[in-house]
Amino acid sequence: MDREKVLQALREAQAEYNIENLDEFTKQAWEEGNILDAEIVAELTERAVEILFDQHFLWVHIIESEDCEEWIPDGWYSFVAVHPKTHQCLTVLEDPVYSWESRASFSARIRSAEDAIDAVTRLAELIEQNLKGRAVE
Amino acid sequence: MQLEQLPYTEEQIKQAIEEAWQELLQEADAEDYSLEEYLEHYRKYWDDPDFPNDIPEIIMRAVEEIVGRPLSWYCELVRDPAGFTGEYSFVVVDPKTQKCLTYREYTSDGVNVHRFIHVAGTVVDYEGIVRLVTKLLNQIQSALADA
Repeated sequence: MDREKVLQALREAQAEYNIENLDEFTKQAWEEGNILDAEIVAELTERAVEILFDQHFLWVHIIESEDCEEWIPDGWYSFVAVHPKTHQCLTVLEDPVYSWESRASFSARIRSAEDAIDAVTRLAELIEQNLKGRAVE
Repeated sequence: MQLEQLPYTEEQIKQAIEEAWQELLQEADAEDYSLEEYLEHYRKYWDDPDFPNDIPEIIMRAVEEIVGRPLSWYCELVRDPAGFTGEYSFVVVDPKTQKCLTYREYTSDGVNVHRFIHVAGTVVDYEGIVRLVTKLLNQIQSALADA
């Protein structure tokens, strides 16, 4: 996935969410454990991927937390994407031997702008592979 | 049990839940401990982060037992600002086709289409497990019939 395209998609998504500094915003969401900001980080990641593909997907995301009781985000996120027309799960990473152990979700750490670039790149690559056929571990 | 044998009965669902529970006990090499006893503890400590939450495993093992084959799945323990709500949200994928089996859509006004990729339900007791397994099976059966 071309880094310049990913950067452009993230810039567009940032503008939609009125975020001036992505690095500060993602750091703040993690360091301050702000669940609402973490929600925006997850949505922004999804939106950047949609901009890259120029189409909408159906999403479920989970903001991971180390402390389940306090529910403080730890900077890790999980995503499930489904194609709205074919209903194909686009975040499946197939286990080549035991297909039922294939993972349905994609996980990434997003604690900085660089992490966000990496997450969008890897998520987009996984979706691209699944759109072409099957992504195999 | 094969897919063709669906629909299932409540008795089959309850049997599959019990088998799932026994499997988990064996894997944990745990002493004999009934599901009812587990659920009693679950009701007291469900929002304790150290409590081993086996509910998603029990539910999906029971579903897989009735469907007749393993499925890929993902479960979210739904939270609100006060903590875990007792609601479980499942995304289930057919590993053979990669199709999302929990995809649903409906129109509320004949114009706008609402789409969901998860099936959710609250579990506070045994009946909650039966209800959620049934809900998942109904949805999966409908998705497989559409394929």
